[in-house]
Amino acid sequence: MGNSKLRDEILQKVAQFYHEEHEEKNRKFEPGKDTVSFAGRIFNQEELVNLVDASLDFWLTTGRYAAEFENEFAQFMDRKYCLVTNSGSSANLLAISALTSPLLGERRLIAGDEVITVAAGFPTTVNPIIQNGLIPVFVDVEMGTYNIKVGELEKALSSRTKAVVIAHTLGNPFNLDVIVDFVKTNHLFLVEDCCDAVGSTYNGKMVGTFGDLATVSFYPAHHITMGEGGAVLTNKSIYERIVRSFRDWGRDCYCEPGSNNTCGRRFSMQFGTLPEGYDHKYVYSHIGYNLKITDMQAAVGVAQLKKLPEFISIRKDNFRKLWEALHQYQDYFILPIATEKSDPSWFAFPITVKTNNLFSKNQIVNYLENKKILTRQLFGGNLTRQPAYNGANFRVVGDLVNTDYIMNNTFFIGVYPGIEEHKMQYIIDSFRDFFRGFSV
Amino acid sequence: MSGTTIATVTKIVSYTDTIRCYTLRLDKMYRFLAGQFVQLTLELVSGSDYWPESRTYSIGFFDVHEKTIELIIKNQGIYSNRIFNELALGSTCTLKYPYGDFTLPEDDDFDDIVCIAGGTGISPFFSFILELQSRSLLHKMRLFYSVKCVNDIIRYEFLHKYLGERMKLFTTRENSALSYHRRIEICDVVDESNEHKITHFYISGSHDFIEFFVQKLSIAGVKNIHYDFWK
Repeated sequence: MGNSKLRDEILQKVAQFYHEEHEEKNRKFEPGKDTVSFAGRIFNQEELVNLVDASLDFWLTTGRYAAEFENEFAQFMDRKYCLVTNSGSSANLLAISALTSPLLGERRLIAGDEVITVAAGFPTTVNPIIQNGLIPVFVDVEMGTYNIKVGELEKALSSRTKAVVIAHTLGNPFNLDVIVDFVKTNHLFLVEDCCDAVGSTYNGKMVGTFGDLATVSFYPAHHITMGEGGAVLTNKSIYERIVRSFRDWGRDCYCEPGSNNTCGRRFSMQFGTLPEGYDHKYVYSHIGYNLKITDMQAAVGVAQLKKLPEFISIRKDNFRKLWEALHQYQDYFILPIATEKSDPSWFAFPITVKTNNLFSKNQIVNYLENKKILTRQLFGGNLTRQPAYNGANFRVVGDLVNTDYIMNNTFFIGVYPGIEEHKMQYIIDSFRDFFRGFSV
Repeated sequence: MSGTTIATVTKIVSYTDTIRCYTLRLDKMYRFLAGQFVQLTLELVSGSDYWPESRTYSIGFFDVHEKTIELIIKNQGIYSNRIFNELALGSTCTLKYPYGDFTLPEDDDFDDIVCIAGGTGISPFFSFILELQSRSLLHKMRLFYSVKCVNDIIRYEFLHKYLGERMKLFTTRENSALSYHRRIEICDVVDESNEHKITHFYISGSHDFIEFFVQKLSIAGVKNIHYDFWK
């Protein structure tokens, strides 16, 4: 690896740069003046050092750091296979597209097949369903857990239902006992969108280990970050092969960048109606994409992965503090409820404002935002009402009453590790002051 | 989901003048499936370098705790000759692994497995034995192993210990009490019942060896034929 002495000197300087340039910035907080974000990247010199180390390779595309991350993250998530990609949205695209592969035989999804999902969520959980010519069937969600109403599943089922694709909302696992039983009974695929739920467990098992495929996001708001990044996880080699193909231009070849003839049969096979011996590097078995990441992104992820257990612990602790502080206001708020048998690694703290004669959701959101405490809606609210879905082909089970209620009355605040004790106290004090204004 | 690692030679066993078993200790032990293979290069490279000339070898015996794998290498060309000359005890090389689809069924509810090995093609079946043993499914495996002479048999004691009567040896050029003095014939591996049609057959050996059995098994109506070969 070339001049390792010079490399070490550069990396030491990078660490020093972090200490001089970033460390103090990360600590500074003036209540009412500085923002309490709902999410953000948490890093130290390790991320910067890894990033520069990868850039010094100047390999640019997927390389040694991506391989290291895939192996380590697969172990963390208790899966055999992990394939990194350039975002959680791409991970969902890959997972759902994989279900359309001819390699799955008669089980494969084809245009017009239905996929059960929810509208109270993030658009890119649902978009790949539509993009693959499939039909999303939207089911309502429960208040408090914000997860799919399992009692509505049978109503969603039809002769065209082939899969269930749902997220563990804000880190709260959905009812996996019921869902897993439902997919098994009806021979359906299950994709767990774990983009907000890394480290959540159900019955002591990691989410992401119950379905055929799982997806994760490494956007800065998430549990760990690569800047932009995501991953697909699975335990089955056939899915790994299919996802890899879709990710890597749709090709049949599995050589890494910079390698040739990994299979040993580069010029000795015949595919489709191509001539015998056509270069395997240019044989395409799927209509795929290029959704790979750069090694520089993966390098940041490798450093982040070491901190993940601590991040999860802090998130749970921050959630508990908020819950203890806010449960006195339960006449006005629906506070989040962990799904039975689960231990969520919370992405955020959702609050639904009950109908009351003192304030609306917008009023408390404006109050918090004016106090520099950032808030967010539950993503798309009700996706069926978003302009993007105007004219899209989908089916709705019932009236999505709770979904609409969430759209109108729910917001969330952060629990990420950047909310240290003094910021947490500021949040709690701000809520107290809000209610004091009504003499509650 | 492959990775690159430096590997150090910790043991070399010569079975014949042209067949050796190299034990390699890996800096990084990635998860792999029984039956998969590695790319071995004599150069020291990282996962962010252009991959140099290399050769493909099945993972044979392995020990996850010791972080070692065994590769059976036959000296039959320029590069394997370099391996024989340059890869000594204590020396290092680079591996990239794991690859390949020559793997056992992932669910446990499969029927019997029949493994047909020619010469150094026995290598992936060592990893099969270890994997099936760990899943308490070794009783489902039968092995038909053909070599030229008794001295060519690799790890006989290990095979006999784990497979016993479920292994049949064939020596094509030598008469021996341990083996049948002939080639493996199709009637050895398929029986008169139709159960062979759903059995998983794994064939490992030279290109001609594989082609012979693929053709014969296909004619016999076998659905699950697995093979992997490289040039």
